[in-house]
Amino acid sequence: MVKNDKDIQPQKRKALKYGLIGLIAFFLIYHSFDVVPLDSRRHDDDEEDVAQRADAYFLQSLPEVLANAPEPCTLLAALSQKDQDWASYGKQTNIGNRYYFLIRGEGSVQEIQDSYVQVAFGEGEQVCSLRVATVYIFGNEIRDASGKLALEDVGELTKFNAISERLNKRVREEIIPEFLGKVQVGQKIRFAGAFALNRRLGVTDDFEVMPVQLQIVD
Amino acid sequence: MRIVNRCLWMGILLSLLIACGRGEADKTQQKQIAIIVSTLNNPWFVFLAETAREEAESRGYVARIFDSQNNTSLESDHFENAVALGYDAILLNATDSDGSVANARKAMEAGIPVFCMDRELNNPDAATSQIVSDSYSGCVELGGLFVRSLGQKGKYVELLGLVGDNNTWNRSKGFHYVVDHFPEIKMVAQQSADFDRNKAMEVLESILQAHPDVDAVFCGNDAMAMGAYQALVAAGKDKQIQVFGFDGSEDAVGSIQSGGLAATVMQFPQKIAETAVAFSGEYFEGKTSFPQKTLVDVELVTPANVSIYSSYGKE
Repeated sequence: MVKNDKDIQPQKRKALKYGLIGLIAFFLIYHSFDVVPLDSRRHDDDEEDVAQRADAYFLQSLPEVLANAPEPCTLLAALSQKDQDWASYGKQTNIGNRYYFLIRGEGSVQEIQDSYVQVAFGEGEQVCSLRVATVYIFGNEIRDASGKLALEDVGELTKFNAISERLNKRVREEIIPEFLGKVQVGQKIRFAGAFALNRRLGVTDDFEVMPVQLQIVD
Repeated sequence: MRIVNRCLWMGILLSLLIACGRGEADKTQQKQIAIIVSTLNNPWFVFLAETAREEAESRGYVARIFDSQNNTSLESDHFENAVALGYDAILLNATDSDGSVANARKAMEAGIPVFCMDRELNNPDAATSQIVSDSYSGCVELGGLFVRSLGQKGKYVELLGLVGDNNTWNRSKGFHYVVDHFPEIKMVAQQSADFDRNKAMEVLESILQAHPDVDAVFCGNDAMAMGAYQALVAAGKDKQIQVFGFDGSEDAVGSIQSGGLAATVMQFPQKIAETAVAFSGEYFEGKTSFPQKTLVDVELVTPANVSIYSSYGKE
């Protein structure tokens, strides 16, 4: 014998009906909320803010300043002069001796080492050779050399540092592999980058320039 | 008679001018600054506090140093005393980045500006301004040197400072940001030695029992680096294992000169102290808006450049 709805008592049917409605309502309400810890929510917001600031800086603010950056040998010659005021060529973020500089120009690849590429710049009497970093791209050079991004604008130091990390990561992952895949000794490259020098130590031979733009010309 | 009258008037005017000048001088001399320091057991903090006091006194202020002995309760007592005694500004080297917030707030609520030196507070509203070393960036640079020194390959130990101090984590984060990019460099142990030389020695001795084959030790300050180095000398491993520190203390600079420590990061407590006193002076003159955080550069000290540095970055 097959049982049908008519065999269920009205009271039980009512309970079943409301039970089903309750279950459906609970299912709908539960799935209309997204419960996440406040810390992780804040972390996500911070990450998004860092990403937006870093991308805007790398794609807009930095190229504008780089467009007027000096040629490497001219800048190095000026910085090497005794009692030269470095503040008129570079930027400082902190109290201290560290200055950040931007440069751009065309040079030819002299050597390809494990962690840098040696590039010769200039012509005639004003020639110089610089190390373009290909591995150790971790510092604040790219963030601080333009003077367009300040701690006061960002607010928190951890966020400010995270912007630097993101900028460096972008260069390490997007610019360097493509460049290293093609570069050969003797090639001409178009280059723009940032570097830091300590006023106390002056212009040393072994500092590395962090690349921002690297393009093989021929 | 006219000449006598003129002389009299001139005398009166001169007396008034001198009296006014003295009044200004007295007003400046009356300003009192309390320098509350986490501990005077560490020579770095002694130098910081003494420099702040000398700088304050050279500007005509009265300054007194209070030692919190790494104890937030004692620090709280110092704040209560400073408020009760009517100090005009407090230069704070906090005992704990979280635990000292309430103490600093007591003073701020009483209308006394608080300028943090070196150790930051986790609430930016708890102090008028914080003047700190850029520890994170310093350890990013040190991390680069560390990786190069190890040839991108090896095992290491990290000795952390006080876990409640932001400097501990800023230094560790900066270091790991670089070192963790190199998969063949492995951290075999990470332990706190509370920025303490003796504790660092004990901790490393015990770690070496389990990991005798480490290549380097990274320490969050020079006191721990010196303790670690001492442990390595005792174990006869000081030539094989490189030790890296942070601070630029007298011991560490001397050790780098004599071929002991591999490197340290020089902080400039003099600049921190001078900036904190200068900010106090600006506050006394009516300035009320200060940057929440002012960073002071740190510099990498290696055997190649140690000759141009003196301990604590004295200039």
